[in-house]
Order: sequence, then structure tokens, then C-alpha cells
Amino acid sequence: MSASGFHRLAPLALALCWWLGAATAVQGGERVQLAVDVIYADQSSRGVDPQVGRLRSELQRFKGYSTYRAMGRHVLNLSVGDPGGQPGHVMLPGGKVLVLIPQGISGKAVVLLASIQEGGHALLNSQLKLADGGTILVGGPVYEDGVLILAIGATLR
Amino acid sequence: MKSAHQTMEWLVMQYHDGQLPDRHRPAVEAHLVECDPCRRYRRSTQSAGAWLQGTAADAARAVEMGQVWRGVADRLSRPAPARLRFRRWAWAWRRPARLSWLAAGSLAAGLFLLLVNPYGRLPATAPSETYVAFVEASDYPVMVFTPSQPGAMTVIWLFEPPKEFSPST
Repeated sequence: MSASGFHRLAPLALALCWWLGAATAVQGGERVQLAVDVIYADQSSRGVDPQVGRLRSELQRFKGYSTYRAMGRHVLNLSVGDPGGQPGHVMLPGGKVLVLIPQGISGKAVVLLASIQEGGHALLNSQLKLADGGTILVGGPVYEDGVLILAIGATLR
Repeated sequence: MKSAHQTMEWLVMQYHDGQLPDRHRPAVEAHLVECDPCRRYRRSTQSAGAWLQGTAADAARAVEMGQVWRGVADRLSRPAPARLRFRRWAWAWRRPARLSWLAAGSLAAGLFLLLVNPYGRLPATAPSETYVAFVEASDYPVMVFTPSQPGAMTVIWLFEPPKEFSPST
């Protein structure tokens, strides 16, 4: 190959190596970052809190609520490789606890156990599959005059 | 319809211009010997032609070609308008060597945006691999809302239990 030909292909080769490296890092990283937005919803007509503005269109699908207030954002960096998974806990208003346990990675998604507990009693048990960058909403636990909505998002590390 | 005299003037003019067929030339020459008006007409035609030729030559000599070329050189030395310079620059990217650099740069930029996402964390999307595999709630009626439209999020909703509902029942 001539020198000019090599110079033409060099940027392409660099970009390909970078892409392969990044893809390997995603596959080999046995950790997942879970972000939980805790949102309070009621009928007081105060609109959507800007802190959860990115979820506005999703939240407004819940008919019957007119206020969506952010009550906190919790980020958990959990190992997926531990036997049984490394549990993460998020304390919720009203004494409830959200327990998240990543069980494994399937392709570009994480399989997750999610449980809402109160006083040692499980109100909800579920198994979720969250794609990298995906979010699932869990709503309904009663709090004050409204309900809690949890937005659980996953990012593979 | 032409009169006989008009016809003869036309023939004399053709004779003068060398356009008259050979078979008619002797007849016209014989007529010119005998006819004074036609001879005058021929002389006037000859003098008019000579004047026109001289005038055209004078006009051609009056045009100084050096001045014309100086004007052309002056226009060529001026910078091209911005519109033309941009067109030349854009046209230069059609060269294969430059096109390969452009393609490599576009590919690298695309991969950078795809993998690094420098504009912050990933948007709140619900890719097709996101779903609820299993759910149970002992105390609450529970429903799973799976979105029908692409991009919408799956929702697990716990409904408030009815007053008469209790875990023991």
C-alpha cells in the first residue's frame, strides 16, 4: 500500500479500533448504574417539576394527577457478577424501601429484581429487563394525598 | 412583376457580383455596350462597393486590439466574487483524495456521537428490550401497562386496595 493510501485509511482504522474497544468495554463491564427518580403525584395542579421534565410526556399519561414533584434522585452503582447479585436500597417516603438486585446482563440489557417493601413485608416483587438507557415506571404506593411514582433507569458501565 | 429595366438592373448587379450564369454574360455585356443608363448603373454600383469596402477597412483599423486585451487582462486580475470562490472550493472536494478524508471524518464523528454521547446522559427512552418479565403483589391489585406506541415506557401500577380487602382474605 502506498503512503498516501495508508494516510487515507488511517482515520478509518483509528475509528474502527476505538469502536471495537468501546464495544468490548460495554460487554466486559460487569457493573450497572441504576438511577431512581422518586416522584410524588397528586391533584394540586402545580404541573411538572423541571427536575423530572424529561419524563413529562410519560407522566402526563397518568390521568387524574396534575402535580408531579421530584422528591429525590438516587444513583446506585451495582455489581452484576456477585453471586445472587449485589442489592441496592432506596429509602422511599413513608417508610417504604425499594430493593434492586441486578441478576445478570443479557446482550445490552440488565435483568433486575425490583421489590418494594414496608415493615419487612413485600408489597411488590417483580423481575424486569431494562435495556441500556431504558426506563420503567413503578407507581401507585400511597403517600400523603397522592401517590409515589418511581422511574427506574439502567445504564451499563 | 418586374419591368424590363428593373430586370436589366438586377442582371447587371448579378454580373457585377459575378453571380450571373455564364450563359447570360454575353447578352448583358452586349447590352452594357449599347445602353448608357445601364453603364451608369454599373459604375455607380462599382463605386458604392468600393466605398463600402474602404469604410469597413477603416473601421477595422480604428479598433485597437491592444486596448481590448488590456481590458480582458484587467478583468482576469480582479479577485473572483465570493459566490464563485465558494463554488470552486466546494467543487475541489469532489477530488477522490479529499472525499476519503471527508468520509472518514464523518464516520468518526458519527461513532463519537453514538458511543460517547457528549450531550449528557442517555435520554429517557424505552428500547424494545425493556419489559416486565414477572410481577406479583400480595396486598395490592397490580397492573402492567405495556406501551403500544414506540418510545413510550412500560408502567407497573399498584392500585390502592379496596377497604374490605386485607392480606388475610
